[in-house]
Amino acid sequence: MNRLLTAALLWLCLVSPAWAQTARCEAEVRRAATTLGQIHRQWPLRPTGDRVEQGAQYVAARLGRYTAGSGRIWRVHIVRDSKLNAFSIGDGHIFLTEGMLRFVANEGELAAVIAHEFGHHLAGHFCTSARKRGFWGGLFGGSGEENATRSRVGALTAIVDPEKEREADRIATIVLDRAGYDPRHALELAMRMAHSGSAAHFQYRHRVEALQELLAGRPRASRAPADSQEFREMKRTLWQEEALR
Amino acid sequence: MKTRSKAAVVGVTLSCVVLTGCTGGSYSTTETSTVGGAAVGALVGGLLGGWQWAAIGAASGAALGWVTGKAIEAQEISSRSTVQDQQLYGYSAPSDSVFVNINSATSSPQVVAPGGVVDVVTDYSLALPQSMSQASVTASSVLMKDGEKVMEFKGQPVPKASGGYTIKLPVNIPAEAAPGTYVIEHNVSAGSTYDTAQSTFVVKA
Repeated sequence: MNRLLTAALLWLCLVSPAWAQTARCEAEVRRAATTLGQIHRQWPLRPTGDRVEQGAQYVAARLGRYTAGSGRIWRVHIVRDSKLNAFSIGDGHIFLTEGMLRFVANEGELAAVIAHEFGHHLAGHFCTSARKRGFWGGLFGGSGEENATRSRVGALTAIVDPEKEREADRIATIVLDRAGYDPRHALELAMRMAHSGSAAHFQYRHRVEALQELLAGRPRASRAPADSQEFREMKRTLWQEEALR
Repeated sequence: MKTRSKAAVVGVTLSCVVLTGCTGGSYSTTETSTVGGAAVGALVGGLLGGWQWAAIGAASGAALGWVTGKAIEAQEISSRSTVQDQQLYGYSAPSDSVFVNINSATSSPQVVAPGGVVDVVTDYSLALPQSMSQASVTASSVLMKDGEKVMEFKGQPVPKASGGYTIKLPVNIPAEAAPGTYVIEHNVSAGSTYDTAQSTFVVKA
């Protein structure tokens, strides 16, 4: 009986996510709902259920199975923008541009982008006081701390704290690992992004260093899982649309 | 070789017939383009294939010409200032980049007889960074039936200031248009962003 109890406790310790206590807070939910409404009115978003959105949502759902303790429903929105960008507004809402979906080389890299946004949520970056930050502040879970920088996404303002970016990366590698993706995809993507000339908010050079340190000595996955049908359909649809324009 | 030559003659003759038949009247840009398209199509079809291909070439060329002609007929029927757009759609802060967003896309009337006109109306908002006074906006429409592209109306890039715009594209429905439901895809692009929306109308004899 004791053995059974010990085994059960050990199993709980192993599978229980570290972020189980960082459930969404009321302020996060309220801010996200208002911001979501503004984005839907102002930005060109792909409709729910189209192949591109479905492909990204499939990857988010696959990752989301390993964040069950967070109490969030993950929802991916696709912006019709060729720029490279990915960000979150809290309460599980993640935004990816078409440019980012075209940029990722495989499903593992897309999973790394989404897992990083999960990381901001799971670390509680959105559940902070609204004081001293405007209504639009707090995209990506910014804190308004001195070492944070501000960047703009359309009419929204994002406060980006390098430490929180690294924290989101750390959580992302755990989520990726649990979901069966090689966490090295996060490093490979960060390295490519660092040389892409994209917007500065990702601060990829610093993130590359931190990820290299985090993943040092970790062997490369012996067999990377093949891209899913959903991911391939998403890529094919984007390619076909690009060819038509 | 002889057959090919005959087909080419048929194609050229058909082109001439079509051209001759239209030169006496007053035609809109659309119809003129239709004629030009039909002539080129028939000629190319005749040269490449037989007389059947000449006829097919004429038909597809006519469609192409119709499309080409329509591209210059889109009209701006109303515009809104940035402030008016903000009041209407709740814009709250200046943007850091060019953003275009379709607010509504309609085709009217919903039911049209062959030979009638359908107004394809697109209302969109354009957000610009404060450092920019204008951005180049391109509007286009694609007419589809049963999932197949029937025609495409490609507009030219037009410089626009921040605000809201409503544009109208009157589409002449050919007398021989097949009855059924048609889908119009409304497209607007500016900067790195674009938006698309759909509307439908029914052609009923």
